[in-house]
Amino acid sequence: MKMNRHHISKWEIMRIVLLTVICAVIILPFVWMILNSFKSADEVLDKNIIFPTAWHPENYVLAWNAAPFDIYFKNSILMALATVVGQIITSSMAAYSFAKLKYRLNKPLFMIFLSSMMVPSEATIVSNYLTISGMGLINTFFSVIAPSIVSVFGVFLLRQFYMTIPDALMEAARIDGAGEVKVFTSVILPLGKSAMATIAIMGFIASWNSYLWPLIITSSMELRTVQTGLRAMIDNDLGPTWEQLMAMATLVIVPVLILFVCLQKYFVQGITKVGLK
Amino acid sequence: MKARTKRLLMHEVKGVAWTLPALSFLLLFTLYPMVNAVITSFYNWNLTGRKKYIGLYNYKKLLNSPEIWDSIGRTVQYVIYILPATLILGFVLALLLKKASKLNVVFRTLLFTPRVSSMVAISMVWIFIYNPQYGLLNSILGFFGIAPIRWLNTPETALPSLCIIAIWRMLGYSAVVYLGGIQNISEEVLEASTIDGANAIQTVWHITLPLTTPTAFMLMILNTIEILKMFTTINVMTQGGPAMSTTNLVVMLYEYAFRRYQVGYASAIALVLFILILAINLLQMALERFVSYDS
Repeated sequence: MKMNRHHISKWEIMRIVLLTVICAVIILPFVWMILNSFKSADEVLDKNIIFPTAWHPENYVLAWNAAPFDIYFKNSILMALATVVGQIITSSMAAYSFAKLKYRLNKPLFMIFLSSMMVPSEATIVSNYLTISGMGLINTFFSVIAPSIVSVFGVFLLRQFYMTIPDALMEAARIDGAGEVKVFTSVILPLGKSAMATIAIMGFIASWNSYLWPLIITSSMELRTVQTGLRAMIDNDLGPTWEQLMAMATLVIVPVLILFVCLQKYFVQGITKVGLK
Repeated sequence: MKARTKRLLMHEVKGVAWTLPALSFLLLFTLYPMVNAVITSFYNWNLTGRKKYIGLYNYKKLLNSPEIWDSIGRTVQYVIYILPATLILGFVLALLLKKASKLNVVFRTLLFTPRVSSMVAISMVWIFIYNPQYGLLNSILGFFGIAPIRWLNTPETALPSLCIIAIWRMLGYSAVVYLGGIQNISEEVLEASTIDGANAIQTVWHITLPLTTPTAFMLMILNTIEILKMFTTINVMTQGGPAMSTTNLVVMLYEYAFRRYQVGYASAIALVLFILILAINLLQMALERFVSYDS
C-alpha cells in the first residue's frame, strides 16, 4: 500500500515537471517580448544578452509617442465595448424568441441562424466592403463594428440557458401584470447573467484582436485600431526599433491577458459549450 | 375564426420582432454578402470603373490559373502540418490536465494565453524570434551546434515556420476542448476498467480514446476551418512570400480584392473559399451521427 502511494506520487511529479516544461515553452515568447521591451537599442540586437543589464522603461514612452496610440487605444476600447453591448442586446432578444415564444416561423428562422454559422467571415469581406461603401460609410466607427454586432454563438448559448428557465416563472410575472418586455427584463435577462459574461468576454477579446476587417474598412488615422496601428508601425522601417516594438506589443497583449486570467472561468465555459455542442 | 387567425398572426409578428435586431444584421452582413458575391463574380469590375458582365469568365480564368491551385495546395499543406500536431498534443495535454486541481487550472490558463493574444503583436514577437542574425531561436539552436536557419526568408522554411506559430497558438485551445470530452466520461467506466486490471495506458487506449472520438472529430473540424481561414500571421510576417510560398486562399483573396481591386475575380475566390468550408461543414454533419454512436 505504501509502495503504491509512493509509486503514484512519482508519476505525479513527472506529470508536473512535464507540464511545467511545456508551459514554459508556451509562454517563452511572452517572456522574451517583455524582457526585450526593457533592453537598450544595442542589447536588443545582442544575442548573448538574455536579461537587460540596465532596464529602460522609457522604451514604452518612446513607443507610445511614435504613433498616435492614445487614439488607437481609445478606438479599440470603444469599438470592443460597442460590439459587446450590441451582441448582448441582439443575442438575448433573439434567444428569448427562439427559446420561449411559440410561433410557426420559430424553427425556420432558427435554421437561418444555424446555417449562417457556415459562412466564414473571410468570404464576406469583399461584399461587405461593397455594401458599406454603397452606404457611404467607409471610414466610420459604425463600419468597423457593423458585421460583428450579431454573435450567432451568443444566440445559441443564451437560447440553451433560457430553455432551462421554467415557464411557470414567466407565468407568475405575467399574472402579476408584467408585459412581454417586463418579463424579458425582470425574469429572463437576470437568469442568463453567466452566459452573458461568456459572450461579453469572448466578444471583447475577439473585437480587440480583430485585424482583417478594420484593415480593409478604414484608412484614416483617426479610426485606426491598436491592431492596424501596430501593423503600420512595423512597416515604418526608419522609425521604431525592436525594443519599442516589443514594448508596444506588450501594451497590446498584456491588458487582454489580465482580463482573460480574471474571467477565464466564463471563457472556458464558452469553449467547452462549443466543443461539446 | 377571424379573431383566432388574427391572434395567431400576432404571435408570428411578436416572435419575429424579437429576432429582428439580430436577424437584420445577420441578413445584411452574413447572408446577403454570399448572394452578392455570386452576382459580383459574374462581372469584371475594378471598383472605380464600370461593371461589365462577363458571365463565367472569372471562374474560367480562376480555375485555369496555377495560382489558385497553388493556393489551395498550400492551404492543404497548412492543414497537414498543423492539424495532427494540435490533435495529438492536445489530447496528451488534456490527459495530463484532467484531474481537477488548482495547479492544473494554472497550467491550463498558461497554455491558453496564445489563443487570446493579439495575432498582430504575436507575429511581431515571432518575427523577432525568427530573425536569422539575432533571433532567439537561432541562438538556442546555435547552443546545440545547429547552423543558423533563415526561417521566414526561404520558400522552403517560411510555411513550416508559420505552422509552428499556429500550433503554438491552437494547442491550449485544443487541450481545453478535449478536457470537456474527457471529463464527460463517467467515473464508473474508468473504475470498471481499473478493476478489470487495465493499466493506465490500456485505459487510455481502450476507454478514453474511443469515448472522446466525437470530441476529437468536432475539434478536427473546428481546427481545420480555423487553419483554412489563417490570415493575420501570414499578412504581418511574410505577406504571402517569399515567392508566394506562404500564400493561402485568404491571402490571395485579400491581394486581388484590396490591392489589385479586381472585385469580380476576388468574389470568385471568396466563393471557392466558401465552398471548401461548406464542404467540411457538410462532411461533419454527415459523419456526426455515425461518430457519436460510440458514446
